[in-house]
Amino acid sequence: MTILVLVGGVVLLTVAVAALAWPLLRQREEPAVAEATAAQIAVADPLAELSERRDAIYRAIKELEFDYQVGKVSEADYQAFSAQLKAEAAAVLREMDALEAAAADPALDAAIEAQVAALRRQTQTASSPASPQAAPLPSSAQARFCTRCGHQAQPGDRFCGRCGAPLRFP
Amino acid sequence: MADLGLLALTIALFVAAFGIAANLIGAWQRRPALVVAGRNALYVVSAFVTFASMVLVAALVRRDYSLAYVVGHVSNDLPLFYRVAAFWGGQAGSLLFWTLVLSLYAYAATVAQWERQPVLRPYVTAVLLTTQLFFLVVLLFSANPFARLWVLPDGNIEPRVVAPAGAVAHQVTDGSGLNPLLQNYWMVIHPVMLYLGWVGMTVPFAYAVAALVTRQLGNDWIRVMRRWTLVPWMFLTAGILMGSQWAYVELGWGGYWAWDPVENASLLPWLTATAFLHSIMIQERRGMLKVWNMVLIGTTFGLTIFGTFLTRSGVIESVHAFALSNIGPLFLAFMALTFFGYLWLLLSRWDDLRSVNQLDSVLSRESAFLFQNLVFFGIMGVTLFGTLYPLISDFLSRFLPVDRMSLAAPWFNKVTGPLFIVLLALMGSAPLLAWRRTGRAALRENFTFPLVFGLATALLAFLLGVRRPYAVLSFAVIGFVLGGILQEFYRGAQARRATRGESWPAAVWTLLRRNQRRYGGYIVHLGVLMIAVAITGANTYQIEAQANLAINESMRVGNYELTYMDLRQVAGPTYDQVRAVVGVKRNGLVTDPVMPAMNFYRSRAGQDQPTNEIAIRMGLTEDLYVVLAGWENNGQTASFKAYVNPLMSWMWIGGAVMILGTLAAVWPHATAEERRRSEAAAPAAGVRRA
Repeated sequence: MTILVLVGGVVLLTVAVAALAWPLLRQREEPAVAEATAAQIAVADPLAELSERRDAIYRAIKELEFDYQVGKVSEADYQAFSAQLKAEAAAVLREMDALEAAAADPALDAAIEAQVAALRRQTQTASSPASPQAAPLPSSAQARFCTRCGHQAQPGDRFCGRCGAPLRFP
Repeated sequence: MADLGLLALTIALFVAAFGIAANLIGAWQRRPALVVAGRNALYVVSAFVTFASMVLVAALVRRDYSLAYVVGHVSNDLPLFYRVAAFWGGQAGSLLFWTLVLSLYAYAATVAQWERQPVLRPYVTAVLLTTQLFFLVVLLFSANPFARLWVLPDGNIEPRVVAPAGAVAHQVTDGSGLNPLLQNYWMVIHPVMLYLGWVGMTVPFAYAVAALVTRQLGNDWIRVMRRWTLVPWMFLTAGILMGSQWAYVELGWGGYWAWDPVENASLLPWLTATAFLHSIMIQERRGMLKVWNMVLIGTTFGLTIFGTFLTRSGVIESVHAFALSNIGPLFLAFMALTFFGYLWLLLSRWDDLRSVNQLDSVLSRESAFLFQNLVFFGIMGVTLFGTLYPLISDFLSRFLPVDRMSLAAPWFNKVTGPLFIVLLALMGSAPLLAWRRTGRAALRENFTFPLVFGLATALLAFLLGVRRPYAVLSFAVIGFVLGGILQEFYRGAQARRATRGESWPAAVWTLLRRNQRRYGGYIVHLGVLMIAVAITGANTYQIEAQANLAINESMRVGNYELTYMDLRQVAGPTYDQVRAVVGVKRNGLVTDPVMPAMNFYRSRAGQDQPTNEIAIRMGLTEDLYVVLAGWENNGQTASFKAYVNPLMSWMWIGGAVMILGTLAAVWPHATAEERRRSEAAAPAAGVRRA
C-alpha cells in the first residue's frame, strides 16, 4: 500500500515537473520560435480583430436585408443603413489590405525596397525635381477626417469608415 | 489509493500557483516559454483533479470505509448508480466535483482557443488557474474528501487528513448511506447540470478579465464569449428545470418552485447570464453597452460563486441544508477579491469601454433589449434581496425595531410576477422591432397581428373560464409573444418562398439553418412561453384537497373522484415501501388506479425521514398529483393530499424546447460562404507565421 503510494507519488511529481519544465528547457534550443511568439503575446493581431469586425458587419448586412425582406425596415431606412454598413465594411477591408501588404514576405519587401531605392537614385541623378511617391497612400496634406468622429477617411470614401456619417468636404 | 488522490490535489495546488505566476510573468516580460509552461500547468492541474476525482469515485464504488466521506454518504445496500452519484451528494465531494467540472471546462477552453488571441491567452489561463487554486485550497484545508476517521485518545471520533498523535484508525463496516431525498434520478442529474452551468460561466469571465487587462475590448472576443456563455446557460436552464422537476416529484407539496435560497442561488446567475446573452448582441452590432456587458458577466460569475457559498456554507437555512461548515470565510475572501479586483479593472478601463454609437430611437431593438436588461437585473436584485433578507433583518434588528424574518414564496411571487410579465412582453416586442429605428408603417405592420392574436388568446382563456385578471393578462401577453413568433416564421418562410420558390417545410428548415442564431432564439422563446403557460396555470388554478379516508371511502379533487382501496407493503432494494392503491374516476369514468407510497430507507441516513413517492398522472391539460400523507390502524384509514395542477406538463416540454432552441442556435456549421472565407484566410495566416 505504502509502496504503491510512494511510486504513484513519484510518477505524479515527475509528470508535473516535466510538463512545467519542458517548454522552459526547449526554449533555449529554439530561440527563433520563442522570438516569433513573443511578438504575438505583446501585441494583439490587428488582423484578427479586423476580420472579426468585418464578419460582424457582414452579419449585420445579412440581417438588415432579411429584416427588409420581411417588412421590418422601411425602404428609406434600409437604403441608408445598408449604404452605411457597406461603407464600414469597405473601410475595414481596406485596412486589412493595408495590413496584409505591410506584413508580406520580408525578403520580398527588402527586394522591393532595394529596387525602389535604386529607382529613386536613378531619377535623382536624372535631376528630376519631383520624387515619385513610394506608395499610393494619402499624404498628410490630402488627409481627410470625419466631421463627426474624427476618423481618418480613405480617398474616395463617401461615408465615414467608423461611424458611418456621410463625408462632406469642400 | 486514497492517499494518491490527496497527493494529486496537493501537487495540483502548487502547480496552479506556479502556473498563475508563470502566465503573469510570461505576459509582462513577454516570455512565451513561460506562457506555455503556464498553460501546461493548467493541463496538469486539470489532469490531477480528474485523477483525484476518479480515486474518490473508486473509493465510493468499492465502499472504502477508511474515508470519512465514504462512510458519510454510502452504505452497503446502496446501488452502484447512487454510489457514483454520492460523489456530488455531500459537501467535500461536491466541491471536488465542482473543481473537476471547472478543470474540464478550463482544459476545453484552452485547447479550443489556444491558436486564437495570443494576447489574451496568458491572462485567460491565469484567471482559470486562480479559480482552480481557490477550490484546491478549499478542498485541501477546509472540506477534504480524502480525510479519514480516527479514534482520538479521548474516545472521540473525528475526520482528519493527517493522523493525530495517539489516534487509532476507526474501523467501519457499514456507512450511513445517501440522503434518501437525493435517491432520485432527477436529483442525480440535476446537480450535474447545475454545475455544468455555474462552473461554465468561469470561462467567459476569464475572457472578460483578460480583455480588460489587455484593453482588447473590440469585437474579437465577443463571438467566443457568446458560445462559451450559451453552452453553460443551456446547462443552467436544464439544471434549474430538473431541480423543479425533482421538487415536484419528490417533495410532495404539489409545487415545483418555493423560492428557497438554494433555488434562488441557481436562478440569480441565470437571470444575469440571460441578460448578458442579449446585450452582447447590441455590443456586437452597435458597439454599445460595453461597460454594462462587463458588469453582467462579472455579476454572473460572482453569483455562481455566491450560489456555491450559499449552498455549501449553511449561512441561510434551506431544504438543501448542508451542515454548517468553515468554508464560509474562504468563500467570502474569494468573493471580496473577485469583486474589488474586477471593479478596479472596470474603473481603470472606463475610457476604453466608451460606446462607439448612441441610441438612435426608443422604438428600436436595442432599446427593447436595454429595457429587458434592466428588468432582468431588477428581478435579480429583488430575488437577491429576498434571499438575503433573513441576514438583513437579523442585522437591522440590532438597531431598529425590525423583526427577524425570512421572506416566503408569496412575497417573491407578488414582487417578481409583474416583472416577469413585463419581461415576457419585451421578449415579444424586441424581435418585432428593427435595429436602430422602426418606422410607423413597419410598426403597424409588425404589431397588428401579434396584438390581435394576444387579445384573441385572452378572450379564448376568458371563455374557457379563466377569470382572474392576472391570469387573463398573462395569457394575453403569452398570446402576443406567440403571435409574434409565428409571424416571424411565416414571414421568413414566405420571403424564402418568394425568392427561391421553396416548399413550406423546406423554407422553414433553411430559414432555421441560414439564420440559426435568430430562429434558434425564437425556439428558445417558444419554450419560455410554454413554461409561462405552465406557471400561469399551476399558480392560479391549482386545486387542492385533503382527506382521511377509510377503505372504500372517496374524496373529490377537481373533476376527479379518488377512492382508497388498499394499503400494501413491498420490499425495495434499499427501502421498504408502503403503497396505497387509490381508484380514480375522472368525470365519472373509471381509469387506472394510482399508487402513492412512502419509502422507509433501511440505511442510517434514511431512518428518520421516509420519502414520499408521489403518484402523478401527467397530462397536457392537467396533472393529477396524489400524496400518501399517513395511515392509522394498519391501513384501516389513510390520509391523502391530492392536487390538480393545470398545464403543469408544459413546463417540462418547454424546458426541452428551450434546450433544443439553444442547440439550434449554437450548433456549429460552416456555410459555403464561411468555408470559402476560411480557405481564403488560411494562406494569409501562413504568410504571417512564416
